[in-house]
Formats: sequence, structure tokens, C-alpha cells
Amino acid sequence: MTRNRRLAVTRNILWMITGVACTVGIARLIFGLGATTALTDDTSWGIWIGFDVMGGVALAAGGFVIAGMVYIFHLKDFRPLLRSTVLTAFLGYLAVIIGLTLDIGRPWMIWSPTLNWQIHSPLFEVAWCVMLYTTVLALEFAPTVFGKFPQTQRVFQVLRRITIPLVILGIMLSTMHQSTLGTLFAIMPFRVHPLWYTPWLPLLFFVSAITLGLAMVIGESIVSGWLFHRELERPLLKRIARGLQYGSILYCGLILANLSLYGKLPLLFRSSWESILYGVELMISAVAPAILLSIPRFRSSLVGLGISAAMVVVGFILNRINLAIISMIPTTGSGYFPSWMEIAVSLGIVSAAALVFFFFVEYFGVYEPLPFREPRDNDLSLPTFDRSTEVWLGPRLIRNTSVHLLFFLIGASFSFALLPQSAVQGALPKTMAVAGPRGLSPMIIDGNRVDRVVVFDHDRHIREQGRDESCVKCHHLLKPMDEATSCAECHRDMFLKTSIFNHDAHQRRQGGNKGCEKCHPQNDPKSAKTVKVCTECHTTMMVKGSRVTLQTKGADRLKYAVGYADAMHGLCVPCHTEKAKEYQEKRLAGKPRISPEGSPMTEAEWVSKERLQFCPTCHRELHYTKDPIPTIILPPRERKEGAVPLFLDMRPAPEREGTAAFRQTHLPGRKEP
Amino acid sequence: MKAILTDVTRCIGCELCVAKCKEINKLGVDRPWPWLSPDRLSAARWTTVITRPGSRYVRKHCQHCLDPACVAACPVAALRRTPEGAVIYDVSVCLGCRYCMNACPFGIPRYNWESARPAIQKCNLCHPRILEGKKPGCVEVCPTEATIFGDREELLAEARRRLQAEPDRYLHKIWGEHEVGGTSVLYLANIDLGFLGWKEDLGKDPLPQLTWNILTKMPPVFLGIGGLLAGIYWLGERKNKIQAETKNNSGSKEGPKR
Repeated sequence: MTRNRRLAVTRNILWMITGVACTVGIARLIFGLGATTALTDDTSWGIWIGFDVMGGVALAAGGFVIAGMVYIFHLKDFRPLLRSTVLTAFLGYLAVIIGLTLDIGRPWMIWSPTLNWQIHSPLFEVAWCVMLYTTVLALEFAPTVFGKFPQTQRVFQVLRRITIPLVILGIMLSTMHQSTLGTLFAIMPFRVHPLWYTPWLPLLFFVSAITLGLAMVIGESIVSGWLFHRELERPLLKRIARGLQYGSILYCGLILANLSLYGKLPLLFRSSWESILYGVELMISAVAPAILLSIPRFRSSLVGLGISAAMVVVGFILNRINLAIISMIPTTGSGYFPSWMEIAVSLGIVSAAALVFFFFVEYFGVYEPLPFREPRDNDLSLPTFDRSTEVWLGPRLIRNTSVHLLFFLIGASFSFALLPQSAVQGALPKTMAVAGPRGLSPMIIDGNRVDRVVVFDHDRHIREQGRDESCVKCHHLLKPMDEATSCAECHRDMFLKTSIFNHDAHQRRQGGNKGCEKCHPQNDPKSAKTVKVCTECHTTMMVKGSRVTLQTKGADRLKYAVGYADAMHGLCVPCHTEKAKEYQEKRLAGKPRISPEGSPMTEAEWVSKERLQFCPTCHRELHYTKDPIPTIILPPRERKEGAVPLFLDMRPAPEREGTAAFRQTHLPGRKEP
Repeated sequence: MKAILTDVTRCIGCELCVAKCKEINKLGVDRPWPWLSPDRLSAARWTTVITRPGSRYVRKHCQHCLDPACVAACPVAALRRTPEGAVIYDVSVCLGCRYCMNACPFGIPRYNWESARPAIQKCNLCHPRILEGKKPGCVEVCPTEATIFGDREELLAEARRRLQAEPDRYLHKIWGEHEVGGTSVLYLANIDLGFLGWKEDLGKDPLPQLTWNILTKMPPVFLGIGGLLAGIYWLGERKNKIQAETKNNSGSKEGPKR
């Protein structure tokens, strides 16, 4: 084993990928799907379903096909391929179950379908079939394990006797769930793109699974032949390639019949990306292999076999991913690209399955005839303690494992270093960049209501948050019952410690301890409460032209504008309600409100949110300056004694402002200048 | 069977329904998660108001289909439809497969992805309140009676009455009367509601029919395959036996072919 460098290197790589996946898997189990995957409310199935589950089940279809050929159809020649294929299928199903466990939101409830029956659900049927078939596969493969040890010969004999019923049961279950995986999508005619959606999905799934299973048998033989320096069963592979060719042709025929029967052929020739994707998928999975395999020279060469098998595998996996994820994007309108963590887990599960496969090949003679009982120097045994040298003499298994473990740990730690913040803290809302305020109208507000004021550039926020739509992003219109919509809601990093005020630097520049009193008054305690405000020395700190005045003396050392919640007089609701009632009364009195265009207005039009963005919707008495951009100033009689003048910049969008029609519809209280 | 009738022309978009819904179901605040949908329906917002051009406001929430696709899709019966018309969710059996999110023709069910113990989140028509004899919260607080609650038949009659009384005010259609087998949430509108998931080709047949038609064919296929395989196996064995016997009798000229 150690002499096989190919295998050793491959194993180390696989162990490393498994390590990467393990770290991610743990992060997913602790912090949930949102923290580790790119799944969204619109695209709730990702590659863990599309590749690991849909693809995995289809990839493992070789198990029932070869078992059926050998045991039921008496094609005994294929026996050499049997056990490795059954093992692949078994490990494939285990991989599917692990992938599914990670993908479902509540992994500890995975047993739920066993007790809570819901026979109307295709997924219920799939769950049961996968459970039963995995058990069947375990029993089908068990003779290989039990045949090895003399103590378990009786179990071995019993298992061999029930092989035929097991194989038949396995094929029955496979037929069921391979096709029912297609039925899953039959309930989504409005979600899946019409090219992929068809009532024939179960049939297409079944045929493609068989074809894919055969391709996997070829691929797996070639790869293991290369890895273990094994002589290949070429005539057998050639015969399987025949089957592969027929499968591909059958699949092409079914697709053609299906598309023409449902009148979807024209869709295939549209110049949309869906048609191109569907064409590519069909070309790789079925058309190209069917054509290539009909060339005798191509069919008899190992490279040709490998290429066509690889095409079928890639093509049908693409088909499953397309159906489960990509074909839904045109409907939902939401993009999805898997995070690297999703990809790592998918690869890791496959790697782990391959490692287990290698283990069985080496210690249980999967490629040798049964019962395999050949003793080996690297056989499974415990390390022995050599008393003369006081050294543990381990079998090679242990020694190699320590190298593999090293690679595993390298992978695990590497991936831990790469984990994004969300995967180590739990999912985080989107951040928005924090930048220093600039512009014309800085306000000083206590947006977080924590008695800490900041200069706030309202203009800039309007500009950067999308003009007309911007108001609702901060003002409570978007967030009912949410009293605490604070700056920190978007600027999540604003309470992180910063070195904006560097006390040491100030101290140094003011001459060390002699300079204290330059900022701290001589007799007062030296604290932040008594210190000079920054603007006393840094006079340019405040932007010129700001209407906010700063008081540097007395209790109100920093006067600031009221929070925007008060500026908007609480929630929109009172005003809406009031106006709606007003309108309803008018309507009941038989006086429909007439819009400037002369048509009757509905309640919604009368008190719309767009209107509420402008103060004069309620404050009819407000007057405007003659600026090209209307600026709203509180009239003198409204001003309370000692109140700070508040600069509210509630101007309409520049592209619409100034037009007479706009003023009429949006600023009804305004007199034309 | 209870239902909700929403009159889009009366809605002023105040979102009091959203606030009340959040209060009753203790949904918490909206946060800018990266996985949110553009319609702003989310795990913390079971009902939302979509603003359409021209000051039209359309409430979006679970349509409570009469034959719901989500209920048929759920493999563990975590979702079920009550006699009152509400489609409700039981987290205790849910395994989180999210098939319901994919099956729903309106894309209603949402997920709290941020949680390590997530659950499907969707409107339950305030089922507990209905059992107490109260109206759903959203209906109770609506200031303009844009959304009303009652027996489905009575609401349909009311909708027809409104369509007749003010034909110019509405498009002549009651959304939800027949689509996908009918829903318990009905709409009257003066704009097309295609953006809610109501498509022209939505059809009158319930979606669960599509999978059920296929699933009912599976048991015969299952048993048929089993019988067929047993038969083929038996035939093969018999052939081998006869061949072996002929071989023994005639001193064997050729070995058994597969």
C-alpha cells in the first residue's frame, strides 16, 4: 500500500478536502444555514440538494443496475464489477444522507418521516425508499465484510441465501425513488422553466439514472484501475458502453418526444440563456455520448470510454442542478451562486466516500472473489508493544493514518482560517459603508438615542440610498412597531472602538503634562464631561453653511436636532388614518375627491406614501422660499421658545422638481411663484 | 370556512396590518439580511404591503389555498389545512426540507435562515384567534376596511356586489375564486395582480393533483417490477437447469450461455 504513491497522494488530497468540509460542516451545524450558505428565501434549494442529493442518488444507480444484470438476468460475466458497484452505491447513499442531514434546517428531526406519515408527498416516498434501499445495499454488501472473518461465516452464509430477494427489493425501491425524485418537481409548474418542466419527469429521471449509473461503473473502473494498478475488464466495459449508448439514445428520444408532444420544441431554439443551457445539458448528457459511442474505434479505446462516461456523468449532474436550482431563477428572479463553503462540503462528502471506498478495497478485497480471507501484512490489527525496545510496533494502517491525519488537520485549520465572519459569529445582516459626513446640510443627531451625537448628512443619505425610495429606509414607514430604528441598524460597525480621538497624540502635541489645562479646565476634575468641545480648537470641523448651531457653554454644550422619529411625528399611521377618514366622509357625502387630472381619486391615491414624504401634505400653512429647490422652514408662529431651528431637507427628486404638473400633484399647498 | 377579502382600491398602505401581525405573532424587527426577497415578505414579516405605481398598495401574505400545494408537499404533515380554512404549521415535526417553499405557487413560505433551529414562517390566518371567535389581527386594525374577514361564500357574494355596484372601480375579476382550486384570501383590484404569483395560466386545478396523479401509479409499478423481475429470474434459472440437464444427458457439447 505504501508503495503505491498514486494512492498515497490521492488519499492525502482527499483527507485534506475532508478536513476543509468538516470545519464548514461544524460551523453550519452550530450557526445554521444562513451563516454558511448562499441560500435565500427565493432560492431555498442549493447545491446540497441539486448535487449531493439529486445527483448523488442518480450517481449511485449503478448498484441496482449491475446487481439486476448479474442476479436477475443471469449475466454472470459482470460479476467482477458487482461488488465494487454495490459498494459505490452504498457509500453514495450514505453520502446523500449526510448531505441531506446538513442541508435540512433541523437535522435532529431527520427521523421525522418514519413516524409522521404523509402519503401525498413525493418526498415522503423518497425518504422511505432511500432509508430502505440504503439498508438493502448494506445487506447486499455485508457478505464482503462477513466473508473475511472465520467467526462470521454463518452470517455470511445466511446473507448469501437472501441475496436474490434483496436484489429484487433493491430494484423495486430504486425504480420507485429514482423516478419519484422527478415527481418532486411535478408540483412546481409555475416555478420550473417550461423546458425542464414536464409530467414525464419521473420517466426521464429513471432513464437518466440508469444511464448515469452505467457511466459511473465505467468511470469508477477506469479510475480505480489507474489508482490500484489494476487490470481492467475491457470486454465488460465495452458491453456496458453499449448499454450506455442505448440509454443515451433512449433518453434523447424521450426528450424529443416530450418536447414535441407538449409543443415546447420552439422554446429550445430561442436565443435565451435557458435554451442554451438546456441545449448544452442535453448535448453533453445524451446526444454527444450517443454519437461518439456509435464510432467503433472510439468505443473500443479506453480514452473514448472514459470521455463518454465523463460526459454522461457531468451532463446528468448538470441536469439535476439545472432542474433543482437554475431552472427556477427566471421565475423567482433571484440569483444564486453557492458559497465556497457549500462547494467545500459537497466535495468533502464525495472525498470521504472515496476514502471509505479505498479502505474497503484494501482490507476487504472488493476486487477479489468471495470469500476473501487472504491474510495481509497490513491487515487490521492493533499495535503491539515490543518489550525489548520499548516501542509500539504499529501496523501500517496506524502509521499511514497519522500522515493522513496531518493532512486532514491542515485542511481543517486552513478552512477555519478562511471562514467568513458569519460562519464564526452567526449570520449577520448586510453592512453599509460608514463614511465621514460631507455636503451641504449636516445635522447633528442622536440617531441611536444613546446620548451620543453625530454629524449626520441628510442630503448624502438621500442621494446614496436611492432618492425617492430613501426616506422609507430610515423613517419608520418601512418598519412598523420598530421604535428603535437607529443608525446602528445599518451602520452596524459604528460602535466598534476607533481611534478617532487619540488622547496620547493630543497630550504629546500640547507638551505632555503641562498641556492638560489647554483642554481640561484647571480646577475641574479631568473628565470627558468637563473637557472643551473639539470645535473650540478645531473650528473647521463643522461644515460651513450648516444651520445647526453649536452651544459650547452651559448645560447644553452640544445642541442637536431631535431624532428623525420625532421629526416625522411618530409613525405615519395617525396621519394616514386621519386623511383616509376625511376622504371617506367626503365620499359618503357624495363628493368624490377630484385629482388634478379630473378623475376621482381612491383612498390610496389621496393619502399615498409618496405624498407623505412632503411636509405640505399635512402642513398646508407652510410656505416656501423662492429657491429653485423648495426648502421648508418652520413658520415663526410654530416655533417654540428656545427651540433649535431644524433644517429639514425634504425636497422632491430633482428630475421631477420644478415642473408645474409635479407641483400640482405633489405640493398642492404651494402657491406658484 | 373562513376567508379574507382584500380590496386593493381601499388600501392606503399604512401597514398597520403588518404592525399588528408582528405584535400578535411576536415576529420581532426587520433586519437587512442578505437572503431577503424583494417583496419584503420575510421570517419577521408574515404580511407585507407592496407598493405599485400610482399609489396602489397590495397586501401579500399566505393565500390559504383550499387545496394547498405546501400541505401536499410536506413529507411529515407539519403543514395542514384546518376546517376553518387556515393553513397552519407545526414546528415540532418539521425537518426543514423546504419543499413547501419550492412547492408554493405564490412563493409565500419564508425561513429564518439566521437561526440554527430554523422554522418555516408564514401567515396562519391568526388561527388561534379564529378559534377564540376573534378576527385576524390584520383585519381588526385596518382603518379603511380594505381587508375584511368572514365566511368565504359571504365574502364572494360581497365581492360580486361591489363589482356590480361600482364596475368602473375594479377589474372585473375576483382573484382567488378559482385559481389553483380556490383560495381563502380573495382580492378585488383595479390593477393586474400578476406580480403576486397570480399568473394568467395558473389554472383552476389544484397543484397537489399533479403529483398525486403520478404517485397513485407507483404502487402498481412497484409490485409489477417486483413480479417481472421474479419471473425473469425464475425463467433464467429454469433455462440454466434444463441446459445443465441436457448437458448431463447428452455428454455436453456446449456450455450454458449466460
